[in-house]
Amino acid sequence: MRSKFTWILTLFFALMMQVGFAQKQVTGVVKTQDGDPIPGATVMLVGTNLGTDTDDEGKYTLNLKKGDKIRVVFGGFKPTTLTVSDSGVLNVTLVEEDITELEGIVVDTYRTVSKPKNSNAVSTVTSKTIEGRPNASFIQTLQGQVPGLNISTGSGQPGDNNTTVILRGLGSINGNVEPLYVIDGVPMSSDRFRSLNPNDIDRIDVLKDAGATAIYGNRGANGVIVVTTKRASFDSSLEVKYVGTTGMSFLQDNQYNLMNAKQYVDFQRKFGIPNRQLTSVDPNAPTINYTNPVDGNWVDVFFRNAIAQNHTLSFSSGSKNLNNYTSIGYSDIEGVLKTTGLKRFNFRTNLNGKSDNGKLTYGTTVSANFSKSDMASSAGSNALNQNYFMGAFQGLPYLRPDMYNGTFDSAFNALRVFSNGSMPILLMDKMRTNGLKQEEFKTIVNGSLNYAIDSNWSIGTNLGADYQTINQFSFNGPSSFNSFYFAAADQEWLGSIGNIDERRLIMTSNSNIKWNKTFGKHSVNAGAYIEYLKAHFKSSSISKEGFDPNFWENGKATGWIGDSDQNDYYAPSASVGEQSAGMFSYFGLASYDYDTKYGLDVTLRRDASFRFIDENRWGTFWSVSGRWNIINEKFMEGSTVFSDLKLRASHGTAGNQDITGSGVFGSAYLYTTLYSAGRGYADEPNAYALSQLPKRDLRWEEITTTNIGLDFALFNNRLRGNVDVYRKQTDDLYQPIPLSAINGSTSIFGNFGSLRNEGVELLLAGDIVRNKDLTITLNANGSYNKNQVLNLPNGEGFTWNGSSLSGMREGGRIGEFYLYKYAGINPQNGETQYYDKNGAITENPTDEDRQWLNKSSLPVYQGSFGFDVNYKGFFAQANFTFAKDIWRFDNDYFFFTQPSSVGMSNMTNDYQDYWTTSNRDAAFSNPNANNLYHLSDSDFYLRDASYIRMRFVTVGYNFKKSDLAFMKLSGLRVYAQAENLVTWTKWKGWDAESNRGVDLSQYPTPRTVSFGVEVQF
Amino acid sequence: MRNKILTFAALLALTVSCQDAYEIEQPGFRTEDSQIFNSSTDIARGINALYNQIPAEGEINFVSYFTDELGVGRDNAGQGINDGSYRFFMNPGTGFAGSLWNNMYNLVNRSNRLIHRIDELIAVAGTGTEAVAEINALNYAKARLHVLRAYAHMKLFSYYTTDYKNGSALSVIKFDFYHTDDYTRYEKRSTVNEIVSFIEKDIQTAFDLTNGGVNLDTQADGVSNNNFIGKNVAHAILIKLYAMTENSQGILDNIDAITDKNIGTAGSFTTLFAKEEVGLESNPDLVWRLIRLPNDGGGVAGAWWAGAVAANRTAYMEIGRSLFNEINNLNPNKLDYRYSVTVLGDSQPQANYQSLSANDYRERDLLFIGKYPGTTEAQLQNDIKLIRYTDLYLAKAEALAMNGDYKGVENIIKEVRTARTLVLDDPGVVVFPTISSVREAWDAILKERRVEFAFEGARYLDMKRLGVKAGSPGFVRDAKDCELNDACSLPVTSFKLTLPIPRSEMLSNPNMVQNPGY
Repeated sequence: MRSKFTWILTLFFALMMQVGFAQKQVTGVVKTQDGDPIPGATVMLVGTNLGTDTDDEGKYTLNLKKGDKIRVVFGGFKPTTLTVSDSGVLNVTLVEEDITELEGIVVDTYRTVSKPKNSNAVSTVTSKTIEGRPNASFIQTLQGQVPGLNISTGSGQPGDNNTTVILRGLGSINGNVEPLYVIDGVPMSSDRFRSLNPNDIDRIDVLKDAGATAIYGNRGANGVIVVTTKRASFDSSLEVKYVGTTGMSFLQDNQYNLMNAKQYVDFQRKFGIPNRQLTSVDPNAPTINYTNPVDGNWVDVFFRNAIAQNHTLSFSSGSKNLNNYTSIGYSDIEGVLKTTGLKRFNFRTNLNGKSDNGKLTYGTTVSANFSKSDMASSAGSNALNQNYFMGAFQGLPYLRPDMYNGTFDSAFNALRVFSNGSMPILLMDKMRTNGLKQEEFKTIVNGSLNYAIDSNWSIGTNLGADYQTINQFSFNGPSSFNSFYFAAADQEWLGSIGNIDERRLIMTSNSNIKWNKTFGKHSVNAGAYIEYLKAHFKSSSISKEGFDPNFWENGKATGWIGDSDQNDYYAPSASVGEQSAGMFSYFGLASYDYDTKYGLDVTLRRDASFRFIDENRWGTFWSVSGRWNIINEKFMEGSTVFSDLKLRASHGTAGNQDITGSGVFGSAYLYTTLYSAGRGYADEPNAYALSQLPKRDLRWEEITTTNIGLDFALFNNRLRGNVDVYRKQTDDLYQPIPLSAINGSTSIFGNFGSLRNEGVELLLAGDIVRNKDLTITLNANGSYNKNQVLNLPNGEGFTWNGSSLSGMREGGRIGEFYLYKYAGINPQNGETQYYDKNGAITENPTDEDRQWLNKSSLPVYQGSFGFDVNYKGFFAQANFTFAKDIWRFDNDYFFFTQPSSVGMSNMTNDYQDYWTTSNRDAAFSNPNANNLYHLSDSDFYLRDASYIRMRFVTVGYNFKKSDLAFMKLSGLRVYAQAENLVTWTKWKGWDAESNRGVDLSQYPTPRTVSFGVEVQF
Repeated sequence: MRNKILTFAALLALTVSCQDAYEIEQPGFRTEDSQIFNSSTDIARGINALYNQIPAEGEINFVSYFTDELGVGRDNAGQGINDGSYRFFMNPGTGFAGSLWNNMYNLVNRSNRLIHRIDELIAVAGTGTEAVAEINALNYAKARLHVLRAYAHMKLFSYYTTDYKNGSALSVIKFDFYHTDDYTRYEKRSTVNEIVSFIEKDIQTAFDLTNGGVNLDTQADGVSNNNFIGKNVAHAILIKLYAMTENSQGILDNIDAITDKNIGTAGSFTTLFAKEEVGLESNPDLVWRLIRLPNDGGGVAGAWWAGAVAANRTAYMEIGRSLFNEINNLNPNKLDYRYSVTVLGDSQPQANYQSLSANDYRERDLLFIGKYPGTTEAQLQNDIKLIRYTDLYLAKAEALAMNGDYKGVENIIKEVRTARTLVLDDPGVVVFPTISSVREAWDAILKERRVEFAFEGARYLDMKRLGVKAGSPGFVRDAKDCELNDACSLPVTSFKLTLPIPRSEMLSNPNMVQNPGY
């Protein structure tokens, strides 16, 4: 009876309030102390999730009533709370504080909450950090910005997707380990973002713990990266903004101490390598002076100083019921390897509208992006006629580019005379005749509709699509050495092309109903959602040999020779394919808050995946998280030390359905036997074969995360930061279980075993100086992650494939190096020596002598630090990233120190110190050592790849608005920046950073210097 | 409240029907053998795919590196050296030890599935003339599967059995049952006797189903062709088996049962390994070849060459000097065609090779491998000569040696040598061995096989089977071929003459026992 009465009473009061305090529009401008407007500041109605951002003139508009409190937050400024009066105008002046990491709100796809009410581990990066950087993909820009987020770029190819993003350690062995990307509410089909314009991004929220990710169900297991693009605000006048950067990239240096031509010829003489001359096969060829050779400078032949430019022009404006942000972008980014690069064109328009009474809101985000990439094929391979990096780095220094005269004959002559040593000349021929191009069109469209039924209930729906087409065209010209060398003896027409078209469409829909209610100091939110995802993939390809050189053009398929009766050399081969994927989910979330002091959030989600059957089809994931805003407690009132203090804790589960790591479409039907038809033996065009063994009980990998975090600000916000500790355990890992060969396979993948990541993350920022003219802020973040495999599917307690450099053992980390321990050179005979399993020295180690080295290619410690200085409009910013306890196998160094390389490829001067009877105390073995092949299975080439890198440094000037009046500009900012300028590392190679455990002749990331300008009209 | 529930229900309905999101039919996926194997024609398509399981190129590659057949080539930049395969490096992770075991059991697994399906089809075939014809065709297919299964067991037996002549010694797994996805079934290694009688039984079953083997030869398309297994192959399997178990009568019986084949002539031997593959289907020496077509990919000569087999291409490996000297010594005037077939025309043997420096030896003493010369269309690829009559005929010599008839051995070797020399050239120049003891007979057979079957993947098993009896020291390379790496020899008694049970089997199968030494 009593509770019923309360209900009625509350309802009455709710109505009363609406009648009694009519809302009206309040506008205002948020400014700095200098009077400059602050665009992008967040204005929140205290006690609610309602809020808006200021437009580019610092203006905001909200429907408020007298007595409402608004809280204005902007990165770098002290949050300010004001009370609404009758006037309808409420201007706000923010005091600079240079907080970059504490943002006012936290955004994910399903909810937006104010920072104090957030209970989860979420990091936010805003456009301030992303805009105007010369990186082709925003992923690279995120490097070092988020504690616990390990981003390693494996390629200097502009826009390459060979970047590994790992949040809080590897959460899977064979499944997907990278986070889910959601752009404007649309989940992405891949992590390739070369076509997107980073300057359009407003903010990126990185969701880390189960409380934040469980709501993403079976896709959120490795964290979620939520990207929100820029929007305009209602009632704002037209803003036009131009951001442009121009830069130049250079190859990084190496510490291999490679030989020059003179050193090399002297060296190879010692090995009795004869002085070969091209004139032995071609009398007109250039000769090599073996007494005083000229350096070939192969790095200069293949690399260049690469120019990059980016332009973005954006327009934003809003009327009473409609606002729009539109941008166009153009980028032309050259790679440091000649012939490589990325060009792209972007268009985006984001539209939001509402009804007069604000009950109905809708929005669309539309972007269309087109990019063309010229890529380097075979990077990292040991194909000496294909990998440019091998030719550039390992080319014999006494060979010269003029030995290649533009014909395949001269390349072939070089091969005949110099054998494998001819590789740089073969690669000059490849550069002339060969290419790999990709054209990508990507459009992301999202539409949303929300309707507030009354003050408590609202319903909404979201429809999104990610559509992407890629055309890949590879060619090898008919006059190329490779087409000549590998053709059939009687094949008249040479050259080949390959053309692949792929089309991906992912459609999602999400419908929800939400409820919220406030009872005095209690407030409750709840929502129920259903989500539907369907994805389609189609591909077709054609490849063909035989083109007429008279008609041939590089990059085209001209000069096509038709098939003939005599042979099948010129018959094209083609394929067509199709795949589908889908998912259905329903879920709910509820949150409770008491006076912004205590909060509790619960999520529950059920998912069905197309990858599993029977009782494993549906997965259930959940989370609970809570917070305690200690700062709002009575006993903290008047605290002179703390200006903010909040304790968070969460626990929950998430699933990984992409257990094979093959993307949206891969690994369908793994639960069943499959048969296939295809080309058979002895010209049989159609033979039948068993192609897959079934694993009926496949299921999700499940990740359980516990997180405890503390957000704090001390000394009037001068020192700010947060600290998180977590334990993340993955169960039901998808990994190969060995099979007896009678099953027709030696292993089958199934769910077995667990692994665990435990770690600490810390983010700190402190203002050293903070006054009107000068602010100096130091910031740092770092993380420690311990990765541990708990159990493995065979009795040995470890898995190792019998030849790999790394394996896994229970208690060790994923990808742990498993090698012989090198024990130096035997001074007596120059053989290499190793420690056996008992620690004794042996020259002939066996598998049993391999040791777990507790080293892997993923860092244990990583993070960044930097500073931010502002002085009367001048600003300087620097960011250093670091990774520690990271080891990689230096295969480049292996080739630079192999006796079999003498006379074949360039070597390091280090190798001058090899064992002879007169040099017994040598760094390298007897070149004729019988057991040399063990060396590449030892830790000799395993090198410490820890580094500290000056990731970027920016200096610039922000013109005051008053100084710009005469140009009719409302903002002007100029700056210069440098990326990857200096790296301190023991790693000898070109690039200490890599996402691979073993590196050989890869495309190194460049260093870049660029200049930028930002103009607001 | 009710309205809200209705609204939500409406939204739910909007989300189309949800099941299509997770119950997705991928196009073209077939999950049951009853969906595709429904006639003898379908079964033939299944059998066809099995031929690609035979690791023929892998065997030739492995044997050439691991024995004394190869020397380091002019253009070698570490290939085969850095990874240890030239250096007699062998452990349970060695590639060929795994690929042979796995491929052969895979072949048997699929054979057993097809045999099972054939039995199902025969059971429902019904009666009438068409049904009878279909049943016959199915039975012939079943017979072929039994022969393939016997072949797989014979190859496994040869590589993984430590002692062929000890009936109770451990051999390989006897895999005679239908097996699909019970992954916890763990088999033991059977004994030598069990495997031998299983192979005999399989061959007998094949003969019983095909009118004594007559219908084994007729393929689905009605063409008899040495591309596929047939009656002669069935007999050859037994001959190869009995050579190992020293069942001389078995060898003699089966060699007599082989029809239409002989050791050929110098001319037929030359065409057997010619660049233009002409008439291989009727070559008298060729009992079973694996046909290789340009689109098949791979290539046997790729084990030693890049690009093509030619002096101006990239030779990673060349003929080992110790083998070359044997071939070179066949007769003084090089009229034994095994020289011109094995040694590529543009080779440059240096008479004073022993006094050359290590680098000069490598760069100037050029002994290019020409046995598998590639074809015009695919320059590293040839049909694989899997079983030759000469191989079986020399097994007959082994049978005679077992019986103590060393003069008979001498005669067979004379026959072979004559058949490799063009009589017109000068028969008087052919060098014939004189054999005066059984040990010398074994030695003569081993030596003859070394030059006859160079680069055909035979040397390893020849040494394993004959080495001790012949008093051979094992694999011995010329000193010049191991000057830079010290990998000069492997003794005939080495445990490495039996392959290790591969790692994957040892890990998965608790009933498996490793061979000694590993």
